[in-house]
Amino acid sequence: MSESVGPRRGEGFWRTLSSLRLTLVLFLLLAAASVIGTLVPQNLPYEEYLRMYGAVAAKLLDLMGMTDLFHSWWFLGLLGALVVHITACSLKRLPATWKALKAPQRPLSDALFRSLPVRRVLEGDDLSHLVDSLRAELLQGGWKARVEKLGNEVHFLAQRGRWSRLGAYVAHTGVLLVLLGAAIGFAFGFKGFMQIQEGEGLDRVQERGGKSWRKLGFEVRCEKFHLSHYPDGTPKEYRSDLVFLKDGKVVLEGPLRVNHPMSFEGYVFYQASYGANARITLEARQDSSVPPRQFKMEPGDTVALDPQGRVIVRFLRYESDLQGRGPAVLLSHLKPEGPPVTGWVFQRDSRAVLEGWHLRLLDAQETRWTGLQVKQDPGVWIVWVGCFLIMAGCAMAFLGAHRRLWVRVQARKNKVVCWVAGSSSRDLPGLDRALERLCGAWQQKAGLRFSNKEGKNE
Amino acid sequence: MNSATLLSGVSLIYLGAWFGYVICAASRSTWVGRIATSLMAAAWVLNGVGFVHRWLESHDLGHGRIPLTNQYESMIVFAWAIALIYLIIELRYKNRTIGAFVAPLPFLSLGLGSLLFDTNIRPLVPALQSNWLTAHVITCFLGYAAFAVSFGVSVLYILRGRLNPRGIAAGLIPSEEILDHLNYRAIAVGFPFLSIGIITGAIWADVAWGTYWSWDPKETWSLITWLVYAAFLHARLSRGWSGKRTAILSMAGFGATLFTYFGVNFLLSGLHSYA
Repeated sequence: MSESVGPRRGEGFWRTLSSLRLTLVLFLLLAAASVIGTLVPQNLPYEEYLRMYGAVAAKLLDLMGMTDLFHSWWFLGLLGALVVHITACSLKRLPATWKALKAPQRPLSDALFRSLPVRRVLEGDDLSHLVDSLRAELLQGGWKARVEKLGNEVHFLAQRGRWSRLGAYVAHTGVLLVLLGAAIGFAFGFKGFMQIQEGEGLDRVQERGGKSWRKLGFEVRCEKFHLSHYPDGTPKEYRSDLVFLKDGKVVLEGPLRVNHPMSFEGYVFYQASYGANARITLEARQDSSVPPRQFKMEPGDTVALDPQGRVIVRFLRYESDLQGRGPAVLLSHLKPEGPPVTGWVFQRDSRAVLEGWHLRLLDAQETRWTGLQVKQDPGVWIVWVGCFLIMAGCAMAFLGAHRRLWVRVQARKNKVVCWVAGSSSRDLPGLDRALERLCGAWQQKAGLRFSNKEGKNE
Repeated sequence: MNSATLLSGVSLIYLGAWFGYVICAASRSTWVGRIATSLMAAAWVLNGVGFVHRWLESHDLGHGRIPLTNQYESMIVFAWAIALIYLIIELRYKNRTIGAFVAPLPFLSLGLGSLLFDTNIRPLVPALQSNWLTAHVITCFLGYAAFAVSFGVSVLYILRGRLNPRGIAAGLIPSEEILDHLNYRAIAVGFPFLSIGIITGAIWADVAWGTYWSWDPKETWSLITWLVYAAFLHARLSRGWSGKRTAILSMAGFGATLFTYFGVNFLLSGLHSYA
């Protein structure tokens, strides 16, 4: 428990936390996990995994969260580690960046000249109006220049694009905001689904993945659902004519189409699906001696085929044209023991037999329904701001560069010597080209020429 | 002539340009090089003409829409974007040897596109009727194309390292410094485009389905690609990696790009079933 060990250990941890090795490790782990997440199908019922992988592997996948990988504790843990890592890196490097950004430029000495990566030496004849035209060209090129006079020397200290050094921080803040917005949406958002019959209304929405319902506090009516096709049969438009009613009064109405969501009282509604329901008449016949029995049913209804109430059947779903064989209903036979058995019963040439009862779909009165995705996401704007910052940061970092230029003009006996040198936070060839242009302009406007003796680039 | 025929012809011009670049690299003949560049530029222009032509054809069919909505059409844009980025590099760096390694890519993209996929013009299903379509597809494919160029450059880099540095062949290839720099520049262009592509895709998904991210295989693989190139940029800019290691990372990134583009559609299933 000596005091000298503690801080050092902490320092090591801090260094690891903010190391670029960890950046690469986290990228690799996130990428590898994502690969697995696309190879193992996600969010299927457990029976599907049993069928695909067998009992042992399915159990293992389930235990490791592989069946809902992107919401598993360890994947969220990885994202959490990324957040901590980005924060640590930014905190560690920002002071040095800030210092480099704010550091005052000192006049160019011989030693500094030799240490800079991009250099030129020029000569001229006359100092008198040289200083003004040099400065004019620097300003023209977008440089912020300061002039210092030291004895018989004039120094220009120029820089541009220094804020590009902050690009990486802006982009990383963007990544953090995207993750924050996603977390807020995950924790406080709501996603649900409404299935509304044509001509009817609904004031509650079914939560996604769950059986629970949420009261909306208003009613959504679907006046009519439209479906149109192109001549070749491709669907052209799905449209629900919706009316939003509050306390029985119409507040908003309009068409809801794919790619054109509607907002009402903090909820956003999306055209997601459509389908048909039917009020059906099912006929069950045992043999010719007994008159056939008829049942009027709606989806979800359960009836007993026999008078004793032993053969119980539930109406699950209606299709107006199943496999080109006309109208059909999906029925489920609920047995006292074991899982239910499901099967289709057709209107035309039905051969369905259940426990000695011949089943036939006598009649179906079709009604259409529209499926609406319903969303409430308080985090989505934070995500968009984050995306904007990522792009702005990329633009700052990749398009800009913090370039600094030092110019030293020295009046000698019968000539003027001008040393120019520069540094850049990135893209040195770009700085070299910029300097070439600047020197060209100086040659034309200020009567400078490249020094023969000292060479263009030493 | 319909656009599909025209574009098949364009793929042959790309093939001619490729031969030209190979011969130019082997013989150092300037006039062959000029022909190769002219073919490449002509193919690029005609590629664009074919795209616009296809757009007009869809209007003639009565359901005009920008041709960016299926595998074949995406490969037209892919070829066009690769040629564009390559021509910019050739203009700036005055070297045609890279062309021998990049020109086959637009040829393959257009050629395989018209051979393997349905070239008929189909109308747009409701989910694709969005203004975000154009921004999303164009930015994604500019990104992919920049990655394709960086891949060609990386292959050339690895190859150069295996040659006798004083041999004739090595003298034809740009220096390792230039290749390394080009690799970085291409990715520094491609990465922001891929980012915009992912973001516009997310905005569109939010408008269409109310979910900006649903871990759909296409989305997930675009994220994997993004992570690989993000790793490249961090390794290079902050850890000072360069040369062979970054060339290999760049090739891995293009592998992920290709899987995002093709593999997901053919090997995995998901929401993104158009292209």
